[in-house]
Amino acid sequence: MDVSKSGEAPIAPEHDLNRLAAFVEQRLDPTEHLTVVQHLATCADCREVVAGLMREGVSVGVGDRRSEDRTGPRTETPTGLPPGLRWGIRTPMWLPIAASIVLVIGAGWFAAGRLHAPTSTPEVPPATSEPLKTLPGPPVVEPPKPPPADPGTTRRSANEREVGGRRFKLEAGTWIDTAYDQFALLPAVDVRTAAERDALIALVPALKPFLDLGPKVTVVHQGTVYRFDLPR
Amino acid sequence: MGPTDRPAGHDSARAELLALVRAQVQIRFSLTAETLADRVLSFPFLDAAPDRRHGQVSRLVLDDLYLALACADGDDDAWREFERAHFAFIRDFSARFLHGAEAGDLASTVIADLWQRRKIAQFQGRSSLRTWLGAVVTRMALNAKASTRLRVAASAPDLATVDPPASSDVGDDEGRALARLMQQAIGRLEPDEKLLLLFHYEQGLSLDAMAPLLGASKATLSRRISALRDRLRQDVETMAAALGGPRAAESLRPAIDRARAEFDLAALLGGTRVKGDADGRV
Repeated sequence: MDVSKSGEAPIAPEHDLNRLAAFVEQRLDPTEHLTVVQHLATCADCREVVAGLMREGVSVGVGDRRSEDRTGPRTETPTGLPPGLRWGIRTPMWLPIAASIVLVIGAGWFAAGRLHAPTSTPEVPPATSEPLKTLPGPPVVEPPKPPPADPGTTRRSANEREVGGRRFKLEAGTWIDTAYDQFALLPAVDVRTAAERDALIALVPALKPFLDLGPKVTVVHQGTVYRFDLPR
Repeated sequence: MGPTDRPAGHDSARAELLALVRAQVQIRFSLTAETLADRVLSFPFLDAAPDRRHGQVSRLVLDDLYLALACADGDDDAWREFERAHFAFIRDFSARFLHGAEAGDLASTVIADLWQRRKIAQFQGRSSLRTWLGAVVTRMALNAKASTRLRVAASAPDLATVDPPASSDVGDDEGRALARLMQQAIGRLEPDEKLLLLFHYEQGLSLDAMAPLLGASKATLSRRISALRDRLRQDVETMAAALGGPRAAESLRPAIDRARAEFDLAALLGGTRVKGDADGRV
């Protein structure tokens, strides 16, 4: 039995907050873990509870808190949270973004629209023959292999460069524009071949300096995300 | 339950649990270690199989459970400790979801439920007390929000009956056809695949946050998401071709290419927000 959603009646076991909290703290055995995953895939309410806890940075360590719980009034942080807890500050922007996150299929449309430089760019295949590509997806995380940076770029640190006044950080082998926000819902162009790169640079020459960073670069330029993932 | 009604192995399980209690709990209220052990063994979620039950018991947060059960028994000292340890958190956490007086009302309601109505007895020690309290606050905050606006559907709607969101820039027919195919493709996903997309796109959880929950590394999750998106796209093309032949797929392609074939992924995945009863009852 658990606190009901209406505050009165018991709720079904699958919505049990004890189990959801245990799931968040990874205290379930594999069988029950799987059961909860299956439930969460279909229950928006419970999903919101779990996600709400995760966004706030649970789980909280138990053992390190036990003693202080018993020792009288504690000094509180400015936010009202007891010290030592790991509940993070929530970023308020997720709500509108999550509500409107979209899956855009067919990067071909965008490449076709943006790269539509009719006769001078034969390397760009016509949109109808392009395989459908997805637009903004999760950042690709790969084992970090720092690509050699062009001497013309400003080296700020081993994992940080500045090009044309833009700062880039090396994350998982890709130089990522610090202005890039994967949840900003900007249109994106994926560039994976040399032909696509050349066609794009012909149309947007301002992107060229950024390619000096290496074959894997994500840069935001004039409201569009350009993700270069070129063969070495 | 009398001694003769006890299942086999009860005594050894009790002895084992008592040892755990004595090792992990500082007995500081009127609630005894023996009573705590007996109450734990009466929890319905415990498995009858000794091995599984042993695992479940070993994962309990016994000290937090001890505090909660002592509070439920009306122990004043226990309530004082609970107040010191958790009231500020409840108020603060409520303010993450609601603002001003509403947040204060929510915190007061939670505290009143726990204290006066002894809802704290529902805590089973399967997590830390604080995480459980966070879950209680979160759910009650969602209910409070639901009472004034559209509520989140309790379960995934029948994908066949949901009117799929159409693209804003493609023709209505093309957009809806595309959305429906995408919906069907999503319907074929395994629960863990669907949950991954929902956590990421609907709830906006980061790879960092999802990794421990879903038991995979950030890199693995990233690859899975990319692969899922690719698979959805390919499935849509395949289904379009299967339904209407290559020409059907071809006829959709311009819609995709013109594109802006944007889909509210959260809605398509089952997080559709629909009108429902105000109390958020499932």
